[in-house]
Amino acid sequence: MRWGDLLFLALVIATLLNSMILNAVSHASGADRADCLYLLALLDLALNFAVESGPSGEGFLAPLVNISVPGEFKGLHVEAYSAILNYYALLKETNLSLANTISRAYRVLSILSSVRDYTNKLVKCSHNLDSARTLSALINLKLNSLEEKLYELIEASYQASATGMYYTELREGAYDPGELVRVYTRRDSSIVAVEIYTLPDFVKLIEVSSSSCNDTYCLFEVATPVASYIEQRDLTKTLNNGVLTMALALRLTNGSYVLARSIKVRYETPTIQLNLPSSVKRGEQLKVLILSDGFYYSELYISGALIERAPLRPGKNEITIDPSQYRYKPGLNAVKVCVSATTKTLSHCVSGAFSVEPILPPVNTILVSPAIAWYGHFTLVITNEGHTSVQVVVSSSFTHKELRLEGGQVAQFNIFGGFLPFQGQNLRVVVTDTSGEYDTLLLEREIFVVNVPCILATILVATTLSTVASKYERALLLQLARVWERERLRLSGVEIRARYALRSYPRGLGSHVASLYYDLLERLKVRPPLPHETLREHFKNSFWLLVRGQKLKELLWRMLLAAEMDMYSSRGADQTEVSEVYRGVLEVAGEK
Amino acid sequence: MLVLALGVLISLTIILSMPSAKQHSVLNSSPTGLSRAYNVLEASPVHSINELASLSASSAVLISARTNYSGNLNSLFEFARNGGVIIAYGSPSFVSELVSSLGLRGGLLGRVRDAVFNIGDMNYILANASSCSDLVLGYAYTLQGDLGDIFARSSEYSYVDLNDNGYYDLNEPIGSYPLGLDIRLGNGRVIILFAETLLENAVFDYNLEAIRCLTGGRHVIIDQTEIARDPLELIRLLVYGRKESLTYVVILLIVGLGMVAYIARRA
Repeated sequence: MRWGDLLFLALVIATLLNSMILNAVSHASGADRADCLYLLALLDLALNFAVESGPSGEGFLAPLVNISVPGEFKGLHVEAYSAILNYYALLKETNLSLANTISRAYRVLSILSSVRDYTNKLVKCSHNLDSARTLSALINLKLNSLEEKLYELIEASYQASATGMYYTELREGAYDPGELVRVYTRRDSSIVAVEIYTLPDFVKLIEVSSSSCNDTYCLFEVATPVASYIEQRDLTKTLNNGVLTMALALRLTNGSYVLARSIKVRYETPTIQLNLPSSVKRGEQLKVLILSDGFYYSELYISGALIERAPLRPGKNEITIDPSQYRYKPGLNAVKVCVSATTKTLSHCVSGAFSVEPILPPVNTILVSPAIAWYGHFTLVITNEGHTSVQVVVSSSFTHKELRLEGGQVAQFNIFGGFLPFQGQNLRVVVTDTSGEYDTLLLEREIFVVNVPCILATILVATTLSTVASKYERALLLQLARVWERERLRLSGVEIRARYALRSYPRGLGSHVASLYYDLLERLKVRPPLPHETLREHFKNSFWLLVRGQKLKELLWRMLLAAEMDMYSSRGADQTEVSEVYRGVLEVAGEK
Repeated sequence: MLVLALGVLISLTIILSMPSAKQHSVLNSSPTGLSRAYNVLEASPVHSINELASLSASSAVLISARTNYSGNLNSLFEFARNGGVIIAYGSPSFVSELVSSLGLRGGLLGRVRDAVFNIGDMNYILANASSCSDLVLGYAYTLQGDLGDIFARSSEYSYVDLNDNGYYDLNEPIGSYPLGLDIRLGNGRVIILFAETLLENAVFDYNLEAIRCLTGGRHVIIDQTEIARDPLELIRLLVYGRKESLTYVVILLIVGLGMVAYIARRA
């Protein structure tokens, strides 16, 4: 290629590339990136409107529900904003009954937790964690304000239902379970019963229809539900930090209800601590120490099985498990202690674990590594030092043997060392106690075996090969070397005569010009052509790179052509030219 | 030499055959170009601002989108004073200088992004216009100061990226910010929009109705003076911009004949 052509091509390619690159430039899109801090700021603004502006803030909130957010946030985003919109919807409702208002308010309270979940998720993905936490704290404050507003609405609804027919003792904070709530009703009112309902589902828990009356008032005494009753009714999941909120309702003679107030009851969780030994031997007693803060009825489980029932008193309680009660498994065992619910406390479980060490049979093994197999086998000696009989199984790469060993007996196992002079074997010994007093012993070792007969056999074979068959072996190695050098020889058997038989051939078919050519090759220290090579092949393959200098190569080429003429042409070679070329090569070679 | 000359001619032909890649070029069919506006609005390009003097300003609307401030806008303002309408937008530096040249005091505050009112990308936001329909502005920004009559504003959910890091930071204000001005100048008006993209192919369809309302039937002229500073772009505009295909055909013929002669000589 000429320079002009290259320049032309370069110019066209550069132009094409330039045009393509320019066309590919564009702004980076911000569509897929989630700016979580921005979303947090919008949520904070929306809650601000909800808390400060009341119903008029709904206009700011509504467009935010369906904005484009990345897929992973979409569900939570819609849930959170829908929860706030539910608050607005509640504020706008005018035709709800008081019971429905209270119920709706509690429902909104429960779904506002999705706002907190969404906030936490956005905090984690914000590019500035400190700013995100600041906004998160502000959002939580506003959520608390919103929740307080909802509680105020609930209280107001309760108070709105007051008609002067009754009076209840006011209580700050929460009641204890089983505590009496006193409701005084006017004697002339139509109140016939006092009932307690769950919130927000309004499921009846307790009903009291008997009262003691004087001339003016009747007294209803309602006991708040105890912890065991709450568990029985499966209400523990509605507890908020151990507090259950219920509604106190008054039933009238016509079957309708008046909601008196909401009551809170606090249920405690017992404090139980479990102390276990880290390990015991199989067959030993297990001492479990339980620290309790009260009187409870407990159940102890090991690996899921009920082992013991015991009462607990405040302070330390010790339970001893005998091996006959439960057969420990070697290894890790899980322990669980559960206490039942009482009047004031809920049920509770604590867990722990301990490990069981096996009792191994008293067996002694003697094995040396590396093991020398003098006669092709090496020895393993096992002694049963106990009083019970054991079953011994010995296995390796080539051996599998079993033997029953009585107490005090010694056994010797001869294990085959393999077929190689030096070898690694994985030896496995399993000792099983037939009486069951002990656990199974498993020994695994990697043994290095020196197989003496194999070594001797190898030496013998090597010696035989190197002495008796040396000539043939050497010829074989030479042939293999030639194959490695990429010479195409057919190795049908060992053609050791090929080299010798064709020795005369490189000198050509009686051509003295060819002899001169070969002479020059020798002087230039170039290897002669091989029997299967033509002169031209030899010149091209190994000659071209070895000989430096264009003039020398040209002269040698002329000599080659002359040799060919001399060998194959009836006219023969030009002797004058041959002499001239011969002298020329010598002169050039001599100048080097 | 012949080879080199042929190479130059072929390169030129390739360049001219390919669409422009310059932002705001009427021959650029990528999202950053104005090819759709040029075709749909049947607009005429101007390569030099002095050409405005020869036009009937009262029946024309000049759309000027620039990335750099050229320094001499007298001809532009004269066009407006004579009854023309100018719709100008582009880089913050160009718009800021334009606003200053009109005697207003306004400095760049920052990029405006909106998560609620956008077209799927927070950088392409909806601007509420005081007249005509709302606009979609790409890579909008806002100015602060004594700006006069506000023509367009962002939604109350938008924020100003003060440090232009692409993210909202806690100190960045959220709210509605000016995105455009409407300034009466003599018998005409200058509508300045604080955005880098208004009529480009990426948002043209969104803004077509608003632009038809703003142009009000006037002839649309697209300012290509900035584009025409590039000689290759100028040639492209001359060849395609005036819709004269004869020059193009002649050039192709010359190049084609030259190639044939070259190949024949080589053979």
